[in-house]
Amino acid sequence: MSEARQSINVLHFLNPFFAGIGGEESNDRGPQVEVGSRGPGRLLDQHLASQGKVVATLICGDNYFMGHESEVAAALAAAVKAHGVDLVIAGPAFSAGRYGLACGWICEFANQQLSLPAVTAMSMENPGTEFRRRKIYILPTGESVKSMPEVMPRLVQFGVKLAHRQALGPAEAEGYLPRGLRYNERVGKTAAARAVDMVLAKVRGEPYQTEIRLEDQERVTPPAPLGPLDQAVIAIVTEMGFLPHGNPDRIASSRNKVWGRYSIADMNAVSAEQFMYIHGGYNTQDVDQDPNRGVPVDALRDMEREGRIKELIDEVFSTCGNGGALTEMKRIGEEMAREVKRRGATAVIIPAT
Amino acid sequence: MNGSVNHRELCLEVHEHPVTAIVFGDKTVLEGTRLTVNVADIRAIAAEEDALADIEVAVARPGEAVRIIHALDAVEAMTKVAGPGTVYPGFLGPPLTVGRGTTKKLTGMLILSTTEFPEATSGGLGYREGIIDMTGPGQPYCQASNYINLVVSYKPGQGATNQELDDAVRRATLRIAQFIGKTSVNLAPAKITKYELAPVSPDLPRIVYIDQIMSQTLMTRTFIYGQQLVDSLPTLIHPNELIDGAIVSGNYKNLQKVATYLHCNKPLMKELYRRHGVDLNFVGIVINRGHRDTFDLKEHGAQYAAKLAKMLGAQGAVVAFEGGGGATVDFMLTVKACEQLGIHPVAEMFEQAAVGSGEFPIVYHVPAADAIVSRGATSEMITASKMDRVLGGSHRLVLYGGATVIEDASQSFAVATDEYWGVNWQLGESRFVAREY
Repeated sequence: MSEARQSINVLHFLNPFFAGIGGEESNDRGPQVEVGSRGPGRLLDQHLASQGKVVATLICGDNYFMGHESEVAAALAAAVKAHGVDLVIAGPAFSAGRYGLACGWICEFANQQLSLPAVTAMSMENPGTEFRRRKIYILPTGESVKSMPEVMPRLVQFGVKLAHRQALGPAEAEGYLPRGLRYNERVGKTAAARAVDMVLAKVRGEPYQTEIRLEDQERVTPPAPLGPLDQAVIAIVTEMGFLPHGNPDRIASSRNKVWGRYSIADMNAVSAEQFMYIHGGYNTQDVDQDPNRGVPVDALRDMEREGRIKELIDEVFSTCGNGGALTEMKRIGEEMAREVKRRGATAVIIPAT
Repeated sequence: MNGSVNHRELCLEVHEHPVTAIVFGDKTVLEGTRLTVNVADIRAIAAEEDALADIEVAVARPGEAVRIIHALDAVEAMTKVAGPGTVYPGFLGPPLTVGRGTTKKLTGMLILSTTEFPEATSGGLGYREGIIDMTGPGQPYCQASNYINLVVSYKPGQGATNQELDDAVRRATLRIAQFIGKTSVNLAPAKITKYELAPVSPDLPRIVYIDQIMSQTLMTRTFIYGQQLVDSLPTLIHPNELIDGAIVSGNYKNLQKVATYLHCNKPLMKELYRRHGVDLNFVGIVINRGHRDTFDLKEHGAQYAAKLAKMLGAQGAVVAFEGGGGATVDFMLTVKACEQLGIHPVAEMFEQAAVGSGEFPIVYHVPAADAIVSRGATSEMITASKMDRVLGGSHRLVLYGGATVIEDASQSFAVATDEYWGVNWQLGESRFVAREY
């Protein structure tokens, strides 16, 4: 928008406590819409000044909210339509957990269902933060309502940018909580120059800012031990890039997104005439020569014949893990697990590289 | 430790001869900044190799609408005129310790080799396409794209295997580089730079560079003094040895690779040299082979590399690596091992997760990695420009390790930046960084 900026219409979301219309007992109240600002909404108006105003306030009790989302959604949608809303501001919720969750829900609904920009603010410890920080814009606040005067100008400034559909910079520069999305930009110094700057700061005990913030990654708990082996129905699942010649499922040797299931019915072993490996991350020469050294079909068939295992599922579930994206691999793993389970497997062997 | 290991013996003068134009003519000669190349001379060098049939030679200049494909390596044209050994020791002469005396380099240009391997291979033994766009949106992602490239495209001889072809191309390309380098022998350089790790003030922080190199198998090899780096213990190397070409690349996992010219000019090495005696004390380089096969072996290499750094008296370490996911584990364990020995580590790395994917950018990390420099995220989708010329051989491009085929490489196409030659390292040189949104 290059023309003079228009005044924006803000819908503010509050719970009854913050709206100043009730204590703990008001938590069960359903949604109600008031014209204009209420409670801390007056501070929003004050900071908005000529940039816009709070045209409506949606108030809903925290207890009512959970489980009645569709009623809240209907009230929100109706108010947005009735008042020509350009922007939704929810909260701030500070450390109030149920309120934080409600604010997050409101923002996500406004973004996704009403195509409206929305922003909320809450503390890092608020469960609403962890629950929705990757989906919506959340500005960090202190734990208590005491930080209200400091938060409101930030909320207004950020909200106005959103309402005018201004391009937003990185989280740190704009003051919102990072959503886990990373984009490239070009800076004045090479990576090497920045690395040497950083190591000198570290050695000298001066402050430095890492360019990749570490996060705890999901830990996989090992399953309980298998019962008697001779009762086990075993499936082979692999990310080694095992597949029949011709690669019918077009599994890629790197950054792959698909998987396949390949029959080994009536085979005592897998032969090099029929199968190969396409994984780009290791030398496939040996397993190409004898595919059983990747997926141990020959050994498992022997065990099956000898009754040491009950059954080998007659297909191999295969993908290629090399350079794969975590979410793709999680999806593939879940899809495979469903199928493996459907086939009645009680255990899987996962040759991996 | 008195704080001043004496590296005096390894003092190298580099004579720089900038090249601003390459033309073809009857005689291979450097006149001012103009290099004339007689293709017959280049062809004669290639003809010494049984595994090579014929060559094509062309020039690609920065900014030209040229796409180079099937790229293997890019090397500096250089020769030694004083001091022991040869440039690219172990390939062009016995493996005498280099890094002393005088080396003359033609700067601003590279010899760039391309070929197409005859044997159909897959997986780790497969060639991974490397594209160099000399202009357009792809240009900042490609190593060698800001140099004038003398592109030598080799055709395999009858019956040559992939390995025979690879070895022959490497030998020929290095010999061509030395031959072209020799055009400067009787000329005065435009610039002389002296490289030595002279003693500096003991107050300056002692910084080591730990460089993890990728070397696994055919198509992912790296050579030190002519020998493939195998599962050896980490070792020390003087930066001057790198400048003289002690490390040569045979790595064709092309998004990950470090080209030979970049081994000679490792960005962290150059930066540490530039600041040696100014605000730091550059104590040397430890090299380690990454992508080791097991966790124990990765720990083994990491612990040993950090110990060597400690023996150099390092207070801080900059750590970088060539490779992908598996190598990240070796790399992070090295960061951890440094921290355990009281050496402050800074990790410099590309981001594995695709741009804007919402994925966590690192496949493996340790709490000690609290100081990371990001070269930026890979796998950004861009539109490669239509080009006037395609160099490198056939115009058929196989992308993403086989998932996509483009029959006419001169066309514009959508491509993930992963397909660009040496992108993981070039991102850092092109001053990219990824920021969280």
